[in-house]
Amino acid sequence: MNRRTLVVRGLRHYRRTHAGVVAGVAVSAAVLIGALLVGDSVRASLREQALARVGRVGSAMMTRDRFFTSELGGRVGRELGGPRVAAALSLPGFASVPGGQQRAGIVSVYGVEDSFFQLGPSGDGRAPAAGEAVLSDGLRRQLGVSVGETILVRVEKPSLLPRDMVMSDIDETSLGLRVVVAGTVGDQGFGRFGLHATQVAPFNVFLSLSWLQGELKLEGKANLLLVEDVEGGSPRRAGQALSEAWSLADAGLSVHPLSDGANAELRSDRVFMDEVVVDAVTAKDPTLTGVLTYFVNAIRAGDRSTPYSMVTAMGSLSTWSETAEAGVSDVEISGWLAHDLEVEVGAELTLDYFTMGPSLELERRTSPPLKVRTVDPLETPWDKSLTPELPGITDSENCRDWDPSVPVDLKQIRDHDEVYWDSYGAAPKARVSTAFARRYWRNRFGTLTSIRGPSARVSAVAAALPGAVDPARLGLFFRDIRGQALASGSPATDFGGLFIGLSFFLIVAALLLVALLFVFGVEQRRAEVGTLLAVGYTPRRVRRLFLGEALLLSLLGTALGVGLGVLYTQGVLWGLGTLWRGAVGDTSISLHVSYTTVLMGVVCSVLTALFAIAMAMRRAFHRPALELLADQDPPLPDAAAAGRRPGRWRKADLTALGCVVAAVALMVAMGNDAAQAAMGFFGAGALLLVAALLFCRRMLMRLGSGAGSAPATVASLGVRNSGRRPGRSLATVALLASGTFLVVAVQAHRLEPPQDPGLRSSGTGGFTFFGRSTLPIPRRLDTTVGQEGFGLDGADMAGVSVVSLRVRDGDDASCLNLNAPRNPQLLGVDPEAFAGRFTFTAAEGSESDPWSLLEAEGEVVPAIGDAASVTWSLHKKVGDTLDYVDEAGRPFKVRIVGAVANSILQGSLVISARHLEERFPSSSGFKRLLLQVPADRADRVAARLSSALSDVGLELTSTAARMDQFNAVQNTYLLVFQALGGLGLLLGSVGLGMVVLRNALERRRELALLAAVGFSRRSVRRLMLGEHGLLLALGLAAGCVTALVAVSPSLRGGGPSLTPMVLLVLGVACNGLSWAWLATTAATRGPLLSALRDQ
Amino acid sequence: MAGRVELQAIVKRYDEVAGAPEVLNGLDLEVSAGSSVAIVGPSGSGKSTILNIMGGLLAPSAGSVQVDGADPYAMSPDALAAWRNQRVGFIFQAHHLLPQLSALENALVPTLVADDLAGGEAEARARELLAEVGLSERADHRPGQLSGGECQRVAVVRALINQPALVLADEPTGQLDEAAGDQLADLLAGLNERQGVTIVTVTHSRRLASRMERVLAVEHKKLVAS
Repeated sequence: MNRRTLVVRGLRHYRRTHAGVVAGVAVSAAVLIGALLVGDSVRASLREQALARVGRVGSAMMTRDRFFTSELGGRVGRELGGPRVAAALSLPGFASVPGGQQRAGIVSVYGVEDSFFQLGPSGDGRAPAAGEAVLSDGLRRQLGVSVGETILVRVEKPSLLPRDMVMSDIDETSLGLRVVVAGTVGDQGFGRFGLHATQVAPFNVFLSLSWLQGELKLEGKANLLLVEDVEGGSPRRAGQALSEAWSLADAGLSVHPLSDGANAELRSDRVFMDEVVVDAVTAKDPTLTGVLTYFVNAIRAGDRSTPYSMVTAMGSLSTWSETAEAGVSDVEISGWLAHDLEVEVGAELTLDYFTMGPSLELERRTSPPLKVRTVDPLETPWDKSLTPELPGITDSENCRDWDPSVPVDLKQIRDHDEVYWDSYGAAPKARVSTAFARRYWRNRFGTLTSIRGPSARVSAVAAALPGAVDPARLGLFFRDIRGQALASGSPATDFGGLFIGLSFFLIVAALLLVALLFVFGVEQRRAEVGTLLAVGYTPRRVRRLFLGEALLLSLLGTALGVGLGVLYTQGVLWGLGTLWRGAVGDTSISLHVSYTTVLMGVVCSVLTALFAIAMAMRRAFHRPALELLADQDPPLPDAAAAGRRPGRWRKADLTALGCVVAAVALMVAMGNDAAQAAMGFFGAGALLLVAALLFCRRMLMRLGSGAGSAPATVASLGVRNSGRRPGRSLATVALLASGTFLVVAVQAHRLEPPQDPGLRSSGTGGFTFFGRSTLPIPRRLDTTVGQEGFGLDGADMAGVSVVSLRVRDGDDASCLNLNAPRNPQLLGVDPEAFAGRFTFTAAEGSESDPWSLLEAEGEVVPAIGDAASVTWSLHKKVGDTLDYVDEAGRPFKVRIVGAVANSILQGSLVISARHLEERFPSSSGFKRLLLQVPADRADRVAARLSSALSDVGLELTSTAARMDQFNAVQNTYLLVFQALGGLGLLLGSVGLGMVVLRNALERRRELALLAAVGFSRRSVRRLMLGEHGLLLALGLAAGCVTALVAVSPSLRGGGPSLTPMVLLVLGVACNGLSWAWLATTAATRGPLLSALRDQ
Repeated sequence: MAGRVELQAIVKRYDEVAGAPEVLNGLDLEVSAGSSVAIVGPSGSGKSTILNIMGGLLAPSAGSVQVDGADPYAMSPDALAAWRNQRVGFIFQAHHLLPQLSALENALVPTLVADDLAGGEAEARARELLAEVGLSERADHRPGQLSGGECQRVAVVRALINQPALVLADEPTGQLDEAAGDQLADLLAGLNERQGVTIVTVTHSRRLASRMERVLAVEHKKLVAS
């Protein structure tokens, strides 16, 4: 016999009483462990998906709009030795079934070889043959096609020339391909391949690399290089191998002999040569000649003009330096031009030409007057090799066949212009100074169109370039894809913590039930406690004995809870896959059980149960042994305490009054902002709840003290009885009231679409539609050029305001992405276009329009994001920075300077378009549109634009629908909270039943006496029901009334329906009454009078 | 010999508000070590209160309590509990046995208080005492399997297990029939005689009172010889 025996015997003897405690612990443990396992499951599923996404790839080089030779893969592989390397073409596109309705708007199209699939998770698979396609499982399902069927894939048609250049071809930006489905690949076959952190399985189309190159006229080119994650394949090692292996061709550079045989020139596929290359050549041989030849609309002298000509600038590389200003107002002209314009030396000319504005609008400019310094005696002193290949011009037989991307009035071309073209082609007609060319024609893509000089010297410089230029500056660098995938594969939100929060009330209700049941058990054994105290046990020692029992019960309950927890997790995961799909989008989450988590949950569950029990029985052993031995009830509340005793009551009254005053002040102080009002009224409701509970306490104390008139009816006797155990009664009321309040009041946080989406300060920014295109829209849609490119005219766009956004692809930072975004997508905007739109929750500085902060100059790029994305997805705040890498591999920081409230901008960071172009000069066009459309034309404009821009895959969504999509996430979480809270409330009403049962058993002798003096069994039951019905009514009323205050702002706006809440409250009331009735029936079963005899 | 009790000028009010009525007022009592005393009196006269004051369960409102020269109410709560455990044995009207334990285990409950448990020794003593009260065959039975008299005898063994100098019995035969009551009276008298344990019992039973050396009655809130 030892103390342990005492504990164990106690457990066995009181097993029926303890069963309830074990069940309660099991419920709380199940919910706690289950919530943690939900977190584990989300984390593990995302990790699995992240690994499926990158397969065996360790590092990747993505050059997007720049193309290297696909042979580079082989050379890098040879340098690395072991790791496998695969080159691919990666382009955006969309897919559809010919003649069918099925379509996939955003598709990644890859041109691959077998080596690509060898880097997949399974390590095998074959690239499709020419004209065939392998689809990812998801895409096949989306299109509903089978092997052997034909699909249409429209893919971006890349241009070696950046699309944002003045002369770039913008008419044919996409190419339609008809391919036969040769097979599908799942996650293991690399079907999930993707380089952005997202849990959504991408729609992938895999085509033959060589076939796709041929179709796109990109023979031998690739823009994606993948390196296997094995020993020797680290991103650093891959970068070193690249430095050794890259050649001029990989940067689009080539050396061409000139027609004179003695000279040669270095050219770029991209027309303009990168500054880094020019700098390296200048450093090697500054005497070589740099050339810039520009297309001008007209050369004017007085009233005469020569249309559409080439003008060149040439000079040794040293003369192209920033400081050179010589001859900036001079021009040298050919004999042909002097004749055409009828000018001589000393005359003044002007040049009309186009430049590209910051928002991709063509700007027509006229140069300052240039003085003719020289008239060359030759008709054409400069040959056509000085002019780079300009699509639509240099490839035309005749001037009248020109089809350039800039507006050209072919009627202006005269016969002798055609003769000139026939004789000399695109040979320049004039030569300006290098200073002039640099000042007016330099752009973000470069300054020179070629570098020329003696063949030997040009070749020598070209040979030395790969060693002299850091390939990263040309966009050739590797990223640690695997590391990023693993880092972003952890969820942005800790779902374990989230679900503990969402299940909080359920856990609290279960723990309260546990504490209640255990304490009832202790009270049942009060004579035992009295005996132990009388024979020399200290209260502390007795408490320890009972805690020993509690520990074993908690362990037992928790052990059961582990199994139930797994079931709970499965239930939640099922919910997330069905009812609550809005919270996780299309993510499939599978059950993962981590033993560490289970152990942690077990420890937490046991500790919380023990804590709840310890708190509940903290006073149980401080009563005198004699009182306990006499099996006496604690004394009733003193009649004097029922309202007249100073001090305690006055304090409680003052507290209640203070709460009411604070609540009213809070409600009055709230402004018009919906979010602020919701928070304020929630706080006011909570304060009123505290006041209501204090009022209930006072009422119960008064009832218990017997103050007031004598009870006239059975029911009123029951009502008075409810105050006999004010602590127990108040606990029941508080549990029901706070549960009802929480479950009903969170409704106030439900996000509703803005009442007036046209309001510029709303989350829509006043825009009607949010447009997303798969392929870039080359020019602004609010310009004539931009509209004509898609067959639109002024009538189509009448009254429509368009804001075009540039996009640097990145991770989706919206609440729809469960992954932790590392580099959120960047949207480039002209800040003025957003002036006065959206509502800021925080911003640096005190500018009246925080959008102007985006214009700030400096090393750090200022950005503005949606407050929810910044806080919850990025876990940042205003003033924090994020790390990015620019197109040339240089790291830079983006600083969040402002955040806007609940908006359509979720998921991205908005920066100035100018900053975006500076960091990513190769990115071209616009992929996002925001349209403000007159309400009466909205549908018509949407239909017209969707049809006109179908070739770029434009999808228009109403901004209200987009807001709904984001709001659905938060609203779904609220729904989960309400569902789990509702369960907690039902559990709380079980607690009410327990209180009824306990009260009835304790007072069995009293009930027997009532029976003895003539009360019928029905009257006795009515008495008990009246007593506990009051507690139920008080709890529900206090909770409902205060919750209605909390939700009143959203109700005023005709917001959410209260029907589900009313049903829930009715359910709780019915459930509570049922438990009270059951408990009353159980306690009054059998002959009541026997209890009297027992005495 | 231990077990001497001395109460002087004891006053006890149950409501400590000024002017509240006293249950005991100026009560004096001296019980010599190894003696036996019965206290009789009408219900509500304060008999059990005297016993509880002696046993350290109820502090007097005024007056002095000395048990073997020590004032239990001057002790800290922990020391008082230890004193009760080692120096006093209680027998209540209701046996208050723990229903989950056997007779033997119930007898051993007070021995579990000490941190340096001498398990084997205590158990041997418990078995010996159970045999002495005629329950050696019933040692493994639980209270629910024993008669009222047997339960009360187990309670006596529990009171004696720590070899106290003073045993306080509060109407120990109150819930027993005549035969069982006589048996218990014999047991208590025998204990006093054989082991020299001081016994103070409160009782309505004249038969039990007659077995004690002295019989005192509560009259006018004081004790007088009966």
